[in-house]
Amino acid sequence: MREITYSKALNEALDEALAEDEDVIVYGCDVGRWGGIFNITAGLQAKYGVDRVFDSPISENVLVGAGVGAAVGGLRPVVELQFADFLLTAGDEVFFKAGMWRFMHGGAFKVPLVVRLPSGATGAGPEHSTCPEAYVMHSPGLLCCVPSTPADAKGLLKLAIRSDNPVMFFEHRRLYQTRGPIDDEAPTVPFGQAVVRREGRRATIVAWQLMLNRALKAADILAAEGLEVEVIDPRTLAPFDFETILTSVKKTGACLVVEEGYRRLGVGAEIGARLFEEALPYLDRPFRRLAIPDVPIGSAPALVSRILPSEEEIVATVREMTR
Amino acid sequence: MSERPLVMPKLGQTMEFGTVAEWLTEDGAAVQIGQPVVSVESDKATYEIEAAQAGVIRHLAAVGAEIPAGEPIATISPAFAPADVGARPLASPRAKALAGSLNIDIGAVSSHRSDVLIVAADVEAAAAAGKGRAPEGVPSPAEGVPLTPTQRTAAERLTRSWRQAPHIVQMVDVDAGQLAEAAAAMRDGRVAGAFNDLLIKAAADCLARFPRLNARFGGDRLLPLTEVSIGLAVAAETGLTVPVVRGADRLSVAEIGEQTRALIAAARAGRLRPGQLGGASLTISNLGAYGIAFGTPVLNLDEPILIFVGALEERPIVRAGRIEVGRRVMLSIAYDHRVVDGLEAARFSQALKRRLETAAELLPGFAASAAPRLAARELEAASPAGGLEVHMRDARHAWTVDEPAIVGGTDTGPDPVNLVLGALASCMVIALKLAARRRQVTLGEVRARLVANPQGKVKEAVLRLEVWSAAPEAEVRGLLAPAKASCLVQEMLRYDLPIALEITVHPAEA
Repeated sequence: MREITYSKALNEALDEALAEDEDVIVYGCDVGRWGGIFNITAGLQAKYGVDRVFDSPISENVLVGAGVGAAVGGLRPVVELQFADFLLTAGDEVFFKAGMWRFMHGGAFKVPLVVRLPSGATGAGPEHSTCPEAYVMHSPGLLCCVPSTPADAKGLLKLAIRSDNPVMFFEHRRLYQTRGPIDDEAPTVPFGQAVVRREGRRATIVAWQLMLNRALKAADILAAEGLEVEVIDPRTLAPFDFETILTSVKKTGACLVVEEGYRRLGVGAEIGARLFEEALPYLDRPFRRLAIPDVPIGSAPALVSRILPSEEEIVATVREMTR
Repeated sequence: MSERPLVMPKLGQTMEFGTVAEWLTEDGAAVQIGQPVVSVESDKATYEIEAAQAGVIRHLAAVGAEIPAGEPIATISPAFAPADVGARPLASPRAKALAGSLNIDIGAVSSHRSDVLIVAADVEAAAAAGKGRAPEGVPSPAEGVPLTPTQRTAAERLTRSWRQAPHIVQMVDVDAGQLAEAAAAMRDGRVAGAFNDLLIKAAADCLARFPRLNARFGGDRLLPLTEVSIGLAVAAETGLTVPVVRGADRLSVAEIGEQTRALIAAARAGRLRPGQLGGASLTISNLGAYGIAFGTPVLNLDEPILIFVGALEERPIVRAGRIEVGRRVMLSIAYDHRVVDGLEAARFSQALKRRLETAAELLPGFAASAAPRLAARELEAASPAGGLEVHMRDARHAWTVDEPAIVGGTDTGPDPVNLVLGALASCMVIALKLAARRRQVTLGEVRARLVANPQGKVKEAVLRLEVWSAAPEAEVRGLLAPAKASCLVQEMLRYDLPIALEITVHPAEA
C-alpha cells in the first residue's frame, strides 16, 4: 500500500475527477497558475487547461454564487475558498442558494457543487482560523465532509464531486502534511459512515481531523493507565452517523466530543442532545465537550494553543469523567 | 470581572508544596462566591479553599497532584451561575436502569466517590456485595473504602508516632466530685465553658509547672516549646482532628471555652485554619461520653503527652474503712518515654489528679453563682412597686430596662423596643464578624445604624452597616448573606414567635 500526504490525496482526487468527467471544473483564488494558496491544485491547470482550472477574483460570495449557477447549469464545479471562515462571507449563496434551491424549485435541477474549505487554527487570527462545520451541519440541504486521513480525504472528495448535492468539504490545514496509507483498490467510503478508530469500553470519544489525532494520542496515554477509550471518527457531519456513536455509548456509558469549533451550539452540543434524546438509559457519566471557548481565536500561537483542546485536556477530562 | 486563578495557598511558613486532596466541585461547574471548591492538603492540615468569585471553575490540577504554593490549581471565569442543585450524589440513568434489571434498590447503593454520580459500577459492586438487594454502605471488597485526606494523614502520623516514641501509659483514678459539680454548673449556664475546657485548663496549668515536659524529642536533645498549647481531639465527619488552644495556661476557663467552641465548630465544618492545628504540647482525648473507662492511647506525632479521659461515673470507693459512692474519672495518660522518665511522669500525673480534684478553684465565681441558677436562655425580670424600671438578669449578666418620663418611667435604661432593635443591630454586627472569622476576612471597626419609625408599632427598620477593612470589597460584601442567615435575632423577628404567656397572682397587702 502507498503512503501519501493528505494534501497529495486531495490533489489526486481533483486530478482523477477532472480526468474522469469533463464537466468538472476547479477554480478559486490562485488555484490556477500558482496551484492554490496551500498547493492543493498544483499542476492541474497545466494538465487540464485554463478553461477547466482557473483563477478567480477574491469575492467568496461571487465564487460560490457562480458555482451554484454552474452546477444548476450542468457542470460540477469545485470551488476553493482559501479559508473556511469565508463560508460565512458567502453565506447567502451557501446556505440559501446552494442549500435550498433544489428544494425550492421542486427538484427541477441538481446542485452538484463542491466548496473546498481549508480550516483550522494556525495563528492567522480570528477570521482565518475557525472550523465552522457546525454552521453547515445546522443548515438544511448541505452535505459536510470532515476527512481526517489521506485515504478519507481522497475518497470523500471524489465522492463529493460525484454527488448531485452541494458538499461543504472541510480540509484541515494542519493535516495537509500528515501522511497515511492509501489503498487504491479499496471501495470509496460512503457519506454518513463513521469509523471506530480505536476500540475501548470505558468511554467514547468523538473527534475528527486535528482533534482526532489528539484524541488518539490521548487514548494511548490513557491506555497506559488501563483506561481503554473508544475513538470514533464521524468522517461526515452531514449526513451524520449517529448509530455508530449510539452503539459505542451503549457499551461505554460515557461520551466526550472533542471539536475545534466553538463550544456553544457546536457539533458536540448536537451529539449531546441526541444522546439525551436517544441514549438516556445508557448514560453512566455526564456528557462532556472540549471545544474552543466562545472567544475570537487569537493570532499569537500561545493564545491559539491555550484555547485549542489539547491531548492533556482530553486525558484529564476522560480521567475526571470516568473516575 | 475576568478569569481569575485559584492558587495553592501557603499553609504555614514551611509549606512549599500542597496536594490537591479532593475537588469539591466538578470541572466546569458553576460556583458561588464563598463556596468551598477544593480541599488541599499540606503536611499537617487539610484546608478547603473557597471561590473568590462566582463563575465556572476549570480544574488545572488532578487529585493527588503536588503543586508549589502560589501556583494556580484552577481558574474561575465569570459566568451566569445556576442555582445549587444540591450535594447528594444522584444515580446515572444507566445505574438506575441496571439497578432496575438487577432488582436492587438504587437508594441503597453508595457512590465509590462521595461527590459524583452513582454509576453502573457502583450498582454492580452493590450487587456483588449483597444478594439481590444491596445493604447500605457495603463497599466492594475489591475496591475497598478510600480514606478521606484527614484519615490518610492521621493514619500516617499515628504510625510514625507509634514507631518512633516508646509509649508508657499511667492510669490515675480521679475524685471527680468537684468536676461533676462544675460540669453541672456549666451545663446550666451558671458558669461559662464546658467540661473539656476545664480539663484543658487543668492540664495547661499543670504543664506550666513542669516546663521540662513541654518539649519535643529532638534526637540528642529536648526542644522546649515556648508556650503551653493544648490539643483537643474532635470528631469530624471526615475523621478525627486535633485543633489547638494556644497559651491555654494564660487563659481562663471561660476564655478557653470561647476558643474551643469556635475550634470545634470549625473542625466539624472542615474549616480549621493551619494555625489552629499542630504544635500542641499535649492533647486531650475525651471518650467518656461513650462509657469508656480507660484506654492505652497513642501519642500524637511529636507530642510527649496524651491524656485520655474516661467516663465520669459513680463507683464504690473505700474511704476510712467504709464503702461510699464516689464520682470518679479515670485518666489514662500516655507519655513519650524518651522525653519523660517514669518518675517525672508520675509527678505530672499526680499533679493533674490534684488539680482536677480541686477543679472548683479553676472557676472564679463558681461558688458565688451557685445559688441562683439560670439556664442559657433563661431570663428573670423584677420590677419593684412604683416605677416602670425592670431589672433583668440572665445566667451571667444584669441590666435595667425602663421607659422615659413621658411614658411614666424614670429612664434608668433603654426602653424594651430599643433593646430589641439594639439586639438586632448588635446581633447582625456579631454575625458579620463571625462570618468574617470563618472566611478569614480581616475586619477593622464595624458600625451599624438602625433607624425604625419613631413612634407606635415598629413597622419597618433600616439597618446600615459600615465596615472598615483592607480586604477586597467584594469579599467583605460577600459576608452579608451568611451574616444575615446566621443572625438569630433577625430570624426571630421575621416570624411569629409562639409565646406561652401565663400569670400567677400572689396576695399582698394593699
